[in-house]
Amino acid sequence: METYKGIVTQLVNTRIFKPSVNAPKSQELQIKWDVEISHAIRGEMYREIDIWYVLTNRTFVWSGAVFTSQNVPILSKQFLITADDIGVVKEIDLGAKLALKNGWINSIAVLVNRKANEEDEQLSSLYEFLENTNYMDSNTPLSHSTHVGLHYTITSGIPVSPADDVKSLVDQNGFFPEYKGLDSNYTTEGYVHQAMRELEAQYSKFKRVFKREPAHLTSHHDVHTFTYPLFKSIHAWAIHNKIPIRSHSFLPPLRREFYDLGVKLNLPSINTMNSWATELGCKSSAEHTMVGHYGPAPFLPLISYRSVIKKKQNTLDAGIFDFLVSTDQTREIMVHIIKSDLTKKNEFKQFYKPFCDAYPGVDSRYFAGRVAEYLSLQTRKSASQNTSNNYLVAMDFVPLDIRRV
Amino acid sequence: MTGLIVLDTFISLVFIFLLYSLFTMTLIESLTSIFSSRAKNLLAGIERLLADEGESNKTNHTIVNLFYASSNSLLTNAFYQHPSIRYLGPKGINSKPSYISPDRFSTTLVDLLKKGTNSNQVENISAALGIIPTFDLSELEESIKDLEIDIKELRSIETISEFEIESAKQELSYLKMELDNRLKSVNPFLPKNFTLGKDTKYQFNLLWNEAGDDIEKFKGLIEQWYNEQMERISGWYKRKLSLLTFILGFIIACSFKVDTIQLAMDLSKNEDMRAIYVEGAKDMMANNSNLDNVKLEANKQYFDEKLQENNLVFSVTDISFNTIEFLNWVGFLITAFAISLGAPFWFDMLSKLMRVRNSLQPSGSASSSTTTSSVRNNTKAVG
Repeated sequence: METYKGIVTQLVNTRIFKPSVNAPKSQELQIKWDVEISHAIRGEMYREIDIWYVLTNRTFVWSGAVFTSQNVPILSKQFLITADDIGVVKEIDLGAKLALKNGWINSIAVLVNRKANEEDEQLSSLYEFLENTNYMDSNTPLSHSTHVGLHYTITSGIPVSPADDVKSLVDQNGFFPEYKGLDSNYTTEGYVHQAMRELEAQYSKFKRVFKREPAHLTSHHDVHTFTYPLFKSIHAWAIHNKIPIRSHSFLPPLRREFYDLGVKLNLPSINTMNSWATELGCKSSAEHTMVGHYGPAPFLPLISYRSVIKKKQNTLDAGIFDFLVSTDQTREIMVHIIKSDLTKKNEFKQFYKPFCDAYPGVDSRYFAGRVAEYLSLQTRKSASQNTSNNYLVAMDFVPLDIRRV
Repeated sequence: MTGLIVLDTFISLVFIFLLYSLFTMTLIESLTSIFSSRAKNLLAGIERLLADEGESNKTNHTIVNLFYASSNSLLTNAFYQHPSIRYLGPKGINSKPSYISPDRFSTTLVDLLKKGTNSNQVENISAALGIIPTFDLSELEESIKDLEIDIKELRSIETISEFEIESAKQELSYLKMELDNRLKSVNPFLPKNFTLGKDTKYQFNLLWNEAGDDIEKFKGLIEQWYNEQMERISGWYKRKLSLLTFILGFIIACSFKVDTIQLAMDLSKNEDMRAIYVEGAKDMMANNSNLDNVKLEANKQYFDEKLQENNLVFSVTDISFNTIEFLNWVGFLITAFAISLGAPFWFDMLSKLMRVRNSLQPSGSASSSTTTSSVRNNTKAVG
């Protein structure tokens, strides 16, 4: 990566966490000191200049105090903050709606395969909500500022396609198997063909409900990364339909190992998938996907909400800081939220038993973590107004062209 | 004796002044230490920075300040009440610190200014400086009450969606959190309706504008401002001490009847007395390379012994209080003024004079003394 030489012209402080004059101070730079600039970004307006240099030591310095004869690139920064698993649980949808309305997230990944009578109602109400609700206090409807993506699944609920078309993919009750049920059959042409047929069906339904193309494609349990034939076919399909697909490069290693233990398959490594992606010429929805604040896993207890919330907020802060000092221009932050008054894992398990019976493949023991994640965003908003950075609120977000169907 | 009566008289006087200066200095050091005068002077200086002319306590700028200091300024009092300052000094009557670092001064002051009911630190500082209005918490409390009523009404509507109710509840929880946060950041050291004095506000505004909403820079500018003031504060202290030294010097001069004019006359007439002082000065200069080594007690003892041998009383002129004349008062005043110049001054002067005296010592005197000595030695040898 190219760097640029600069010279300090005014006594100035370097800042950490965010490009702002009231961010924590790192170091005092004296006049005539040399600095090494990585790139420039837009930050807080100070004396009519909002350009801040990111130095190679990962700190920010106001550009008005540094002279450089070189042309430092000003990188735009866009966040895609995506809530997954929308469209099947009422409380998850409610959490997402509140988060969209308040500007905590700007993207949702929708599962479109609940039962016909219910799903249409739930999905169409989501569509109506996006059309009729404005983003924060603006006059812009959420449908214009929200990335609505397809969360493809063959590991939860029931198929959208007619049962006969995908009979290899479902069990005797007509449900998709949980991800653990995936085996080497999913490398065969017949299975992959049916998986692609189901993808087409979910894609068509998505367009029918939301009256637009999906802004991105993701898959439940990242199932599209389980085998090479699935990976290749789904990526080829996404390239053909010009739909950005979530990058596989940042799948959480622990979760990957967890899946690897569960499935009857040898899951490909990230490096292997990288070589496949290069071969296929894939385009990701973001240069980096941040998943580190997910959890805790069902087998881990959630003892203190306060500490989990704080931890999640710290992870987000660290991730956002890392993004700002990196040369990436797009980054996706994946969130899992639910608006619920329940707090304990057992309560969730009990309350959502009927749902899990009707729609297997969504683990309600994760819902306590979702509550914590929701609260971490909710309390963060107030915190950001007072002190810390407000980059999580998608202030830099520029919506992609919404491709109407 | 050199025979240089004027020089020896002058050396004797300087030597006496030096001893009295040392005595006064010791006395003043004890007094200023007992009364924590430095801390009181610092308070006067900080009050000068933080208070308008009207708020400032006049006695803080007189010699009384060395023994007593108080402030009517709310900001100054709040500054000293702040834990980062309060615990710098010892526990007890003189609990104020005698030194505050520039960094601590600016951090404490900014901490006082950045607290308040506005939404963030920058806004709180701006509100304290009168740039924007202070946020009225009662508005927020009113909004919370209204929203609680609205939510009750919303719940009674059957057709209302869950999103709308949750949205309103969310808003309510924000407002409550907001109120809680703002209440937490209310300044505990300043009264609710506190406003800065006009001049103080103007000065802070200058610094704040220069900082351009940058709190770190604001701190830096306050430090710079404080450093400049500290130089003056130390000047004030020196002046107050000089005046105190003069007053104490005058009291000592009167008490011990150290009339410089009378002394000068006595010394010019009394060769023995002169000799004793000059010898004393010589001994002192030979044994003490700097003032720190000069022990008042040791010298006083020496003179007591020597002067008693000569039927003289140490540095006291033969004046009766019943017959004090105008000229005696002038003599006392001269002594007081001489004492107020301080021991270092007189020590320096004495060392210079002794060098002059040594250079002027007649060679005959030196050789005669050598001869005498050699004769004595020879006599001894022969005998």
